[in-house]
Formats: sequence, structure tokens, C-alpha cells
Amino acid sequence: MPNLKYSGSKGVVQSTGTGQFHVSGVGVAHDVETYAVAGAKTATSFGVTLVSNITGASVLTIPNPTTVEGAAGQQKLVVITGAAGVGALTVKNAAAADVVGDDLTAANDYALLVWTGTTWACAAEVST
Amino acid sequence: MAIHAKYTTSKGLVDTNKEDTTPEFHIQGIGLSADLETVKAGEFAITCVAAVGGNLQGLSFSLDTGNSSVKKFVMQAGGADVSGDATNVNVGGADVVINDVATAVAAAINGLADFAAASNAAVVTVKNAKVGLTDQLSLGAETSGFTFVITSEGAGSQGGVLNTTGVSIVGHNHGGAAAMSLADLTQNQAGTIKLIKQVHGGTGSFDVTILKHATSSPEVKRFDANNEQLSLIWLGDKWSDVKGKTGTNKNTATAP
Repeated sequence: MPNLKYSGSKGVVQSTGTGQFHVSGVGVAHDVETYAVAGAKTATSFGVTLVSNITGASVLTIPNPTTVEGAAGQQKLVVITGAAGVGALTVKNAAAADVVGDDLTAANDYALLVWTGTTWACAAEVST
Repeated sequence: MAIHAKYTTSKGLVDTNKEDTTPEFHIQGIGLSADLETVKAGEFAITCVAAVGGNLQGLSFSLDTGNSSVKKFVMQAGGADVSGDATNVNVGGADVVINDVATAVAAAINGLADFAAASNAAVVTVKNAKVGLTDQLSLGAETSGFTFVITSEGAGSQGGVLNTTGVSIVGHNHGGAAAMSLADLTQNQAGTIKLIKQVHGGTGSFDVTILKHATSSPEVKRFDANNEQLSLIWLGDKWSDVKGKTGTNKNTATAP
């Protein structure tokens, strides 16, 4: 089976092995978007969304991935980075259902979502 | 200079030739997906017939375990036991009413660890003890003269072995007990997140045995309601639950 290994010195190297996909020396980087949410906002379905400010009762919608079934296992991280205590952020899916169950309200609150192939499941959250 | 690898949906995986010393492996514009599987334990309903004048003697049927084997059952109805290596079903005579035939069939099936069976009048309900792909449709009723209804074929790897990566969906919970297992990854796969979720209303005890877990080894988690889920992260030598330190614990599949 092929092994695929990325390193900063050699780039991506494929070799014969036991079937590994290995990123060496760094973490896998995803896209990061940062904005304030006042009212309603739609995020991307991938990577990290940093929310710098929340105004009032607001909603962040996480859309379905483009390739619905093929995207199973895809993760989405939403993190509140500042402006503690001035609002409450409800994280919803494309069908307008609350996928976390608790609102994110303070700095360092977060929600880690995993796409099941049909919907977002909240794997972990910190809400205060 | 470090090599920067970047995947984009337009160019694929490329070296971005950024001239600095900080390496980067960046997936842009999409998320990183993993394996998806749906697992089920087989569930079948057998409508029996009465034994009349020894007509059931030597007739047979087979059941797919979903555990790398098919079990054959041979009926004894007034004659000798001719089951050989198969499982004998002694219905109690040459002429036996239908409900008693069903009782005998259920008892014989229950004698094997691969199944749980119960009879209700003429119907025997069979529930596989492990999730795993079955093909009961192809086996049919063989010579038995019984009627088989496939409530659900089993799905997934044989013997309840779950993929160690990506998402496993429990797509059918037959209301009884069924076993699954989650094996280890290797040290350099630390950080891998595994999600298991039930998407069926069945309330049976579908237990996943996690071979190495931070709480205990093995650790058992039970799925017995719709939307129950379990998120795990591989620490390099064991699995651990993924959960926040406050808020609501999303791991609703808990130890039985």
C-alpha cells in the first residue's frame, strides 16, 4: 500500500508502506475566517470560524458541505475570541436547527462539529 | 527554505514556493473528509408451518450471522437426527402444531451465540448478535417451506468490527443486543477523531467495545436510542472521549 508523507524539507513523498497519510512537523492548516456577528451570519462549512464579537441574540449558520456524503468526517470549529458577555451565539445548520444545544456567549467558548454524511453533529463544546 | 504544500479544488496539491522557513500543509476551500460506513445487525422473521405426517423431516434452512459464517439448521420431525454438522431442530414428532414448531425453531436458534430468537405464535424473530453484512435474501428459505421476511439485512464489516477512522452510522437497531468493536490506531495517528452515531429509533443494547480507552481497557459504550453519539480522539496509544470541560457532554452513548 502507498504511504504519503509531507515534511517541510521534502514536500510530499509517496512510498511503499502500510497505507499511511502522514503530515510531519506541522499540523494540517485549514482556512480561518474572522468576523463579528450581529443578527445572522453564514459561515463556511470547513475550517475555523473565529467570532470576534457578538451583538445580542445572534445566529451563525453552518451550511452543508458541497459534497454531502463524501464529506463525512469533515470538521468545523467555531470559537468565540472576544467580547465576552455582550451577546449569545446560536450555531445552526442549514435546516435552521440548533446543532450545539447551548449558546456560545464568552471568550474561549467553542463548538467542534463533525459532518456525519447527512448532518452536523456537535462532538464537543465549551459554553459558559 | 521549507516546502509549502497546498491543496486547492482548482489546482490540487501543489508546492506554493513560498520562500520562508516555516513549513505548511494547507487544505484550502474544503474540509478534510474521512471514511463513512453504515452498520446494522441483521433481523429476520420466519413464519413456520406445521409438521404433518413427518413432512418436515430432514428439511433445512440457513441463517447468515454477519460474523463470517452461515449457520444451517436441519429439522427432525419424527425421524432420526440427520443434521450432521448443522444444528438439529427437533420439533417433537411427525405431527406438531405450527406454534410448537415455531417454539422448537426458536429454541434451536437460541442455542447458538450468533443469534437471539423468540417465537410468537407461528413467527420466529431472529436478531443477530453482532453487526455485520448479511445476505439472507440469497439464502432464502431453502427446503424448509417456511416464509422468511428480512426486516433488515446486516451491514458493515463482519463480526461488528468498526472502521477506526471517520464516521460509523448505526443504521438499524433491532431492539435486542448486538456487539461492535473499535480497535487501536498507531502512535503516529494521534489526533484522529472518530464519531459513532445511531440514526434509528431502536432501543436495543448495541454495545461498542473500545479495546484501549483512557477510562478502562476495554471500555464499553452503549447505543440504545436515536441520535445517541460518541466522539473519540486517539491519543497515540488509547482512545479518549472528546468533550468540553463545561457545557453539555455530547457523548450520549454511555457505559451500560
